[in-house]
Amino acid sequence: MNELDILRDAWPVPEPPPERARERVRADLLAHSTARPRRRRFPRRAAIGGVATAIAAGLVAVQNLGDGRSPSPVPAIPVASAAVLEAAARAAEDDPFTAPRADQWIYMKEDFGSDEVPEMRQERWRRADGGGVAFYDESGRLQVEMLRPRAGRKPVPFGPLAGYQQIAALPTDPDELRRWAYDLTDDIEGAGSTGHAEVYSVFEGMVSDNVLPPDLKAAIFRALKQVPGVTVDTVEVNGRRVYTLGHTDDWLRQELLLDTESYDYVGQSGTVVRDTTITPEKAGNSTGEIKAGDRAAAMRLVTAVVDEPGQRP
Amino acid sequence: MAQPSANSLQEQPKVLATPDEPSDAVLIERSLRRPERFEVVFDRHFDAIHGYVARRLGRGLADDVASETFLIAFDCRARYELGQPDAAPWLYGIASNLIARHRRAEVRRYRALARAGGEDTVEGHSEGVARRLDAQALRARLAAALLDLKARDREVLLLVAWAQLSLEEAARALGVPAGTARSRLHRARAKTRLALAGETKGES
Repeated sequence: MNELDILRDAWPVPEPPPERARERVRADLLAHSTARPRRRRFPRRAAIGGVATAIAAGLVAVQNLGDGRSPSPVPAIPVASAAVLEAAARAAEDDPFTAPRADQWIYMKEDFGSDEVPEMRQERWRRADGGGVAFYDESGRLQVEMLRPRAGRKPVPFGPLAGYQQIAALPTDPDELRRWAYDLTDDIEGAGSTGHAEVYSVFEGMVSDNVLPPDLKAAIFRALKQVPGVTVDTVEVNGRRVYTLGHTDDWLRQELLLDTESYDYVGQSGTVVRDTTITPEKAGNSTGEIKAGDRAAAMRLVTAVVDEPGQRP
Repeated sequence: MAQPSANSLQEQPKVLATPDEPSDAVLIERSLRRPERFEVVFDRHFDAIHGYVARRLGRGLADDVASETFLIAFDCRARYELGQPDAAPWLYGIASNLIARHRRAEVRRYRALARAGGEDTVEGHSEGVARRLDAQALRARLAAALLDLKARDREVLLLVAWAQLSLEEAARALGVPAGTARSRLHRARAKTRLALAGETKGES
């Protein structure tokens, strides 16, 4: 479960602008581009995207780099946790696995909720080449959203919406993979807790939002052994004890849930580790206070590869 | 890593570019002397920019804001970094600045959406009764979460989630270092995740 996907799916896919709107803007643009400078409808706004943001960037950069942590490639985690990760890696290597074709879709069905709040069942499809996502909207209509290739773009950089094919091309050597993840999230290896949390998030997203070739999945678990702050614990979910493989950042521990026998991925969760006020300014139905121990989980019910968006296995 | 092949994207309403077509950067450079070249950049990106603005501000403002984005882009094209083949981050950056001027409209919109689903957790909350959240209630929660975010965190989150920019591109769009964008996104995602968990304590 990935909140970026949820956020995308929860809003209707915008309809393309009406043709006449496009034509009007095109005409404006043409008139604008051929007009003499003093007749320009819009004053030059050099500051936009320029000076203002540069100043902001400078300020923010100073604040942000101020944590002064020196690189600390700390060999990461306690022995018992490392043993669980190694076992998970071995189990992954034995996975029977057939890679999806580029034009196939990865189907995921999940129950999302917490002990205290209603559950929501969610089904979604992601195209293996990263070219699209699909889901059923509130009226039960299938929405297929194709992601457009952009002009002059290099082969899709890895991002939160990367497809199976981008992910499957990653290095399967754990050290190389870990370096790749640190490069992706920041150029400085070991630079502060947030960097490690973000690396953890990258791996978490790959495991929770995709199917993975066995050697890559194994490499992810082994790479996580070397990410400071990663810990392994167990928790009971629906009467079943599972491993939580997680990383704590500030007040939130993000977790992957693994079966204790097969080490299969069974879900994902977030646990609040200390009481936190989100913000007092409220509207609608969200809240200010969250308490240590609050949990939310997305339990995976089905993962499968299908030929069409909307198709169930 | 293979680029999506042409036929894998045949569902597309139109193909935006092929490897043989000039990049945005090339077109923008040419448009310095031949302004009409800019039209191709417009054709490539207008729908996406319009859609992004519509999601954030509603359709009512989308036409104007999307239009102004391209007029400003045209005016500022001499300052375009020609090393960046894809103009999308640059255009989203301009659009983001324009959207920021309509913050009140944006906030009103999220607030209305948040209220529209405000009942979802009040009733039927007894233990053991699992209720499905409908899409409207989910959107309400998300809208409330978006309201709670700092504007600059929300900006990065939505550029990644709705505009489908990579983190690096979002950073470029906003003119901030990648590390800054990363920590903003991280914060925004964590808060969104918690809001999705639907914490209802303290609700009256």
